[in-house]
Amino acid sequence: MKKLICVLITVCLVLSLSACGKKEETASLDIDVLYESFQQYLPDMFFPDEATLMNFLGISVDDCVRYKVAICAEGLRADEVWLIEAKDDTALKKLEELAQVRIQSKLDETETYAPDQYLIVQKAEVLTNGRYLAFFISPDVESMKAGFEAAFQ
Amino acid sequence: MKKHNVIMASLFFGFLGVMAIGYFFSRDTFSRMEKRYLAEAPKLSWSRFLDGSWGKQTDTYLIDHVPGRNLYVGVNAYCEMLLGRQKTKSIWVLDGKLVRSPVSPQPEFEERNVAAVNRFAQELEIPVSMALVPSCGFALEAPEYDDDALIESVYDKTALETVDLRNIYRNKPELYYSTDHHWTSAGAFECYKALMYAWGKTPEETYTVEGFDHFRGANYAASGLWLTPEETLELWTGPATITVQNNELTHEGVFYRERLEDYDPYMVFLDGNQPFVQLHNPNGTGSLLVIRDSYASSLAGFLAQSYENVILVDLRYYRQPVSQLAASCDRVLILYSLENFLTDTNIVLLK
Repeated sequence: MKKLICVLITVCLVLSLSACGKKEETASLDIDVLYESFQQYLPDMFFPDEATLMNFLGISVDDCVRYKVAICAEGLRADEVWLIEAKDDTALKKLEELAQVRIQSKLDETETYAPDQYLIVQKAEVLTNGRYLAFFISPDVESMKAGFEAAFQ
Repeated sequence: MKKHNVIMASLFFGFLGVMAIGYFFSRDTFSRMEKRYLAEAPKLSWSRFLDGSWGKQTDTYLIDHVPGRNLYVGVNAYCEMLLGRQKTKSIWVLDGKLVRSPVSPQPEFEERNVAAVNRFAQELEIPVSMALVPSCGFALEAPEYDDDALIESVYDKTALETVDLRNIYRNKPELYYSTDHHWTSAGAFECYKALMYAWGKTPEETYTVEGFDHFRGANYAASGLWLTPEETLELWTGPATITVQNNELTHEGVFYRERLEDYDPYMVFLDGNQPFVQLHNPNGTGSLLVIRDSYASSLAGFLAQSYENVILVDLRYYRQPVSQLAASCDRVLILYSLENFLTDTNIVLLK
């Protein structure tokens, strides 16, 4: 019995130590290709330039290695997509915070005037994998979330 | 004693049973009282269960669909009011009116928005005017509403021609709805007159007025104070024949009367918020571009009494270059409620 316990403790120790090792590098992601795959779920979108990204969303392109940010250009829909590879962990954290600020801003904007869009914004997703960030506001948020997760498998 | 226990247990389980049946039969997806969609039943998955989101969504679903929800929301709102906690809420009760709590200005938003409108105006060769609408709290002269200083601050920083509306609404709460944050039709008419005088035009002053007596607006929905009485929403019809181009559909007249039966009767004006609306009056003169929020929905009908073309653009939804629209106009008006101008993040998109 004692031997069995010793073996189990050893196995647990080895497994926990192995978790302390170097993180596996995140797979590289082609943001443009991924965005292409999401287009089937999106209406006509507008792509802000660098100055607008900064002034409108607070996103500094210096924090991004690559990015694709798209905002609905059509009518009253709240659809929005950010796919960003952050420069480093600090930049990633900052981008995550900006995404949360954006969600709150969209909630405030839609709460009184567009209850159907408010419901969609409430289901917004902010996802990270390695230094990649994905932010989705869409009626098809679940499909886009699945697409982002599948891109790393 | 045993009999007593049986009665108590029966009552308890009876209550649970009634609630469970209530949940089972709950089919509502939208609350007309709160003017919002209720939470949908969350879908269960391992990842959602493990990251806690399923639990949170289930909580929200159960709260939204609890049998007798409107009663609980109402009782809670009145209890909060009686306990003197009204001013911790987003809607305050002042002199019998439901008004939004004072705006918390964020200096960086103000700077960015003022810079955006200044930049936009500099690139145009036509006059650009700005008018900010003070809040109902200001009209009630409540000390917490510092609209005087906030409007002064924006007007000091802008290079645009400004139309000061403060003295029109000061101490005139009757120009605002009691259950909604917008101005009444009479309030919009006062703004129209002020603009026309500022621009050297004569306002149209002959209207027939109809009343819709069952209006309860957005502040009512957000307050939970369900016993607040209905009020009258007025429709002022002027002599001009106005055609509205809205969402590529043509509509005769500025009132979408079917909206009076909708969850938000304020949408009777121009069918609610729209990215782009154009009003045409064949007997008017000149073209006016209005960059606006929802206050302009009830103002536009008055402006169209004087102008041949009035184009309304809402930057929350309109993403095309606005300067292209200005090319066909004689004047631009930037019309926002003070609160929206200080908090709207979309104004920086103005180009």
